[in-house]
Amino acid sequence: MNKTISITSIIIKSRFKIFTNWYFDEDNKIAVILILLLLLTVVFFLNQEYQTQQETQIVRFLITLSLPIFISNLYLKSNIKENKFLLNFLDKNKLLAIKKIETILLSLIIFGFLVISELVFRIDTVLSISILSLEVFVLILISFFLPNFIKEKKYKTRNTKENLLWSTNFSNQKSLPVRSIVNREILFLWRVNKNLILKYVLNFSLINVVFMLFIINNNKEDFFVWAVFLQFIFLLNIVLHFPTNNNLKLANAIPCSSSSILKGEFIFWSILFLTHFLFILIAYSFFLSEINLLLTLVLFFVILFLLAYTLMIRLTYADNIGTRVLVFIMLGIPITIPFTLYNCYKKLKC
Amino acid sequence: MLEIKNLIKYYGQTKVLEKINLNIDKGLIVGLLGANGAGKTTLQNTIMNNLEFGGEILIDGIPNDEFLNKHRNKILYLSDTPFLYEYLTGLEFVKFVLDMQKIQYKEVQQKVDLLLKLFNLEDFKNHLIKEYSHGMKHKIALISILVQSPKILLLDEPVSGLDTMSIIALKKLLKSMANDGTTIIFSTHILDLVENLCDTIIILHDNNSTTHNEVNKMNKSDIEKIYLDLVGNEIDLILNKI
Repeated sequence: MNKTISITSIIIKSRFKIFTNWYFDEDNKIAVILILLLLLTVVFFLNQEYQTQQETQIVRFLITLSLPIFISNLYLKSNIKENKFLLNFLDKNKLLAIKKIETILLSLIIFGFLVISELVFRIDTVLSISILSLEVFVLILISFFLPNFIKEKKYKTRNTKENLLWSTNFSNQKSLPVRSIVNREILFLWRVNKNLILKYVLNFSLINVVFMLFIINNNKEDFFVWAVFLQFIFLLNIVLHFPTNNNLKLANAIPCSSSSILKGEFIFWSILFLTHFLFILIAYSFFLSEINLLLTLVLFFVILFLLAYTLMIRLTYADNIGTRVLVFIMLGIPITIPFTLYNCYKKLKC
Repeated sequence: MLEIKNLIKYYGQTKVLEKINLNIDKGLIVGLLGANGAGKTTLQNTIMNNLEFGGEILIDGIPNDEFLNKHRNKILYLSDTPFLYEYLTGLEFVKFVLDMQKIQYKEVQQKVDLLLKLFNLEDFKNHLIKEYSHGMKHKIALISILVQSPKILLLDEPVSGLDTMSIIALKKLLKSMANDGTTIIFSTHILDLVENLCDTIIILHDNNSTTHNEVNKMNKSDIEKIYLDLVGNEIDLILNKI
């Protein structure tokens, strides 16, 4: 334990040195000035009084919140290459222990910042901020447990699940098991995009806190349905932009595999959407009426339909992101839907 | 000293190393040769236990993971694209590595100064690494490794980007480290380096390995012939067609 703490202090010392070197570097003069200006602007907005007390509180809350989110995002980008470099000096368990200590320290800094903001800028939503502080703390903690956990398991999963998937002789196969598509997506998501996922989790948490504050402070419960809808539009956008290389590979290797790919992808993304939806319901359920809950449930089924539609576009135009986005936007003109559906069917049918 | 038994390594479906068996004695300088993608870096990474593998790697009779847990600072590895903190100065980076290895800077300060002088970095030691050229970056990473006294030193293309003087200096330094008992295994594509420096060469080809001892008694054309015989001697045929 002592050794871990002393190594952590060496790493933290080096981080401070890197920061001071960056700060005093001539090349970064403009960046430093910009950051100072930004901080001044932040302080200015924090001191501003708005028309209503609630508005003032919301603006203050948002600004106070943006900094921890920003720091967490930066910290999450801590790269794999550095971890590999540090593994020259430490074993995996020690590295994990160090990351945990660093995470706890960072969380404490963020927590301290939020408490000071509460005191200095008289933010009344003490409970909200405390909950949020806890949320940031837990999220950062998870963010470091997960990558390391995955790193430990990485080779095993690569050798088992992915091998199982790719060892299949595609050319002799008439169909592709749907389950393998789901497995592949999970693998791909964890292995390649874990930092991105955590970033989304943080950003969605932020969006939900904003929505919740808006609903509570303005007593506009009906906005909840819109809040859910907006979030799912963001999610659909992620689906649309998600890499499609593997789909192309599979579609080329196995004739008539598009239906399996589509089913597998739908199951995978539905599970993700459903999880997200359940979290929202749990978070909002305390102050929502039954009618709004029911409405949201109906909305969710509409979203599942939109998901299927998006996935179809994703597979049909797998090689061109521009077309995918354009066709998706065309959804705004409902008359285009049958044409899009027909085109997708024509391209995907065996 | 270093024993590798039936080493197997796959990347997904791709077989990289298959049943590699090696025995490397203390104080030897070993050159790893092979085409791009033959598994040179992979072999070094498996020794460092950075990758999962099949088979056994023993250091002083102990499995490498156990050995590394006990004496991590006794095996050092330098990648061909070493990680460096761009916003530390060269000297600060060396001090950071020494701190991590629990080596007091004062104890090795003289050695660090001499190495900086040897690699012509003395005037740049207080410059930020981001201002360094590719070769200078490689040199500072090398210095942070060479200042220590490892049992096994693994270098991935150590002369990449180095100037002629630095290559000569590095060769002499590696020889003296080997004389002091350090086992050095480095990968390279430069046969000149192998000819003058190595006691043994290991050629990785077709997922397998072939070891040639007493390389110091061979000249460059002998090594070239051995290499071409194993890796493929179609060069002349293709050249003739061109």
